Amino acid sequence: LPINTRCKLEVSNFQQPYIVNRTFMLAKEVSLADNNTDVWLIGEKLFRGVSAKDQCYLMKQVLNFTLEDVLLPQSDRFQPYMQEVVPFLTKLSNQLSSCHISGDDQNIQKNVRRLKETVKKLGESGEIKAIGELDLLFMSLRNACV
Amino acid sequence: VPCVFCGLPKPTNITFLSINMKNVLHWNPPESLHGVEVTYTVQYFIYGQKKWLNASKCGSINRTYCDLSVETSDYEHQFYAKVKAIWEARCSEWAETERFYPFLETQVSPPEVALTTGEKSISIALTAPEKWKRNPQDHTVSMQQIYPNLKYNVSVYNTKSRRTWSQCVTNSTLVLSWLEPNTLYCVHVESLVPGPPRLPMPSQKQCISTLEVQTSAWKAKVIFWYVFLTSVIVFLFSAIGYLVYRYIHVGKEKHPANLVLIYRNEIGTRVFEPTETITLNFITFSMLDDTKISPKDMNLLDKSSDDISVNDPEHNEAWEPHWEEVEGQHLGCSSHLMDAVCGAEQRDGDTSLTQHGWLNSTIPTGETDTEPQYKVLSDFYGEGEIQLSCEPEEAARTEKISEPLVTSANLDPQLEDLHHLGQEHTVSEDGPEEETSITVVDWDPQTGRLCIPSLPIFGRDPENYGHYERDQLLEGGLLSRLYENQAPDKPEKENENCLTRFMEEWGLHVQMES
Repeated sequence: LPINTRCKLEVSNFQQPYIVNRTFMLAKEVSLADNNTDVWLIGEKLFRGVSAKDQCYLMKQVLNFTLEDVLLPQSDRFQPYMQEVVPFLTKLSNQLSSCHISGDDQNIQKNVRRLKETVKKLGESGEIKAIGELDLLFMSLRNACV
Repeated sequence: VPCVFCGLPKPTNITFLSINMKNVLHWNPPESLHGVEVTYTVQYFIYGQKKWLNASKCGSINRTYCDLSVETSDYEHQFYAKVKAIWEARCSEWAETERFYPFLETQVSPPEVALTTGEKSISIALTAPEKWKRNPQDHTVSMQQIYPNLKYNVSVYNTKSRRTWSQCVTNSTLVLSWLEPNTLYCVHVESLVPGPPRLPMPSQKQCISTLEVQTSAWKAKVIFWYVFLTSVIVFLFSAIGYLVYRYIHVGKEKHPANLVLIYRNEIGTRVFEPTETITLNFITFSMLDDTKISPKDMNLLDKSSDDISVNDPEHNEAWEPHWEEVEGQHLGCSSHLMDAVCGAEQRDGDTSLTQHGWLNSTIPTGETDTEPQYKVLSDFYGEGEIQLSCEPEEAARTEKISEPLVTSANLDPQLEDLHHLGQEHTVSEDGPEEETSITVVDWDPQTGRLCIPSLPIFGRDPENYGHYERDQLLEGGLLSRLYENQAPDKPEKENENCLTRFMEEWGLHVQMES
């Protein structure tokens, strides 16, 4: 089987009303605290130069970064949403653990690196911004991996 | 126009209202400025961009809303909007909205609903809503294209039973069947979009009534079943009637094989008589006679037929004795003939010996004991005959005792000659002389007495008397039977034949004396 076939998520993951609602409410609430409106992490620039079949691998990288460097440090805040959304996103990450690409991933690595640098540059504000864009992360995963 | 901020309150409740991607910004006037002529200025910001932008048609406006559909048409982006109030030369601070994400926040209007009804069903056709268009002539985009997983929640309300049930469908057509006829049903539909929950926008209720039951169809069914059941019942009764008819009539019409129906013209009644050949011929003959005989003689014929029927057993009885007589006569003659034939066959050349034996048996009685003589006689005649001959002649014994004396005193010359001949025979012992010897006896058929010449010699002894009687009885039996065969009723030829044979066999010479 082609390796890209492992870069797939069940559509049912995105059709659970309760957890989907909690994810969006968390993003909405946190986005109110984001004052750097000129910075857009998950936007057009993130997918620039990446083919459609490799976008799921790209989103896997973003998901893993968000879980490890953003949500875990802020896990004590934004309750009770945080304690429910983190396990949900972790499950999605585990389902994509065997997702790899056979071609050149130079553009992918470059775009992911730029996102990481932006978040770290902004510090805590960057982490707030990343959490505020969880709705964009959710929809991008759905569009790329389903 | 620049303004000076001097504590003027800002507008309140600023929000986006979005339906099918048509995004309109709404707000309320400042709280303390009701009734005052205030103008507003609107700006929007695209998330990730650097600057706020002025809304093209919402600078210094009096209304409290601004259509930003064009500015926010890229529904995959996120947006901000802000409004400030201006009164004379003074202005308020900016009032901002939350981040607006059209793709996740726009409401999808309900589909168009078209209902068609049947007798017990309703068909619902659903058409997806269209995305907002800037100009009427622009290309139409269906919300189904933006949201491929768009679904519809269909609710149906029965006005009679006052029950509602819902059904979630993805197809554009839904058929509700098995409904009650002549009943009003109301339908409304909602669109369901995946993602965060949105404010519900149900369609207006549309009501439609199912049709009444078609009487013509109902009547046709009733008539069909009526005719069908009637036909079945008629068939069953016909079958039963046929079976009953067949059982009754077919059984009665059978007649026994051994009876023949015969009609008589006179009586006019039916008579059954057995079908026997003889009887049939007789009746046929009588019928023929009837045709020939005149009416006067018909009664006589009937009487004669009755007589015949009455006399039949007598006639049969009359035949039987006749046969018996014939058989008896024949048997009697045949018995003699058989005896003769047996004797002739066995002793053809010894006829003289037979006679000699007979004579010896009679002559030596004077010399030997009486017992051997008895044995010889019994062998000659048979024991049965002896017994039969003794009983009827018991009464005649006295007469026999008296007659010998009379017979010896009244001897004839012929008898004397015969007596002498007998004596000579006893003296001589030559063969030729024995052949020529003759014994003369006297026999009375009525009394059965037989007189033998040698008997007077033994008449004196009492034992001899018994011997004499027995001899006579034995001889009488044979002679009496022969005499009975000579009945006058019989033809003479038969008598002659039997007598002649007897004479020839025994070498006898018979003289009949009346």
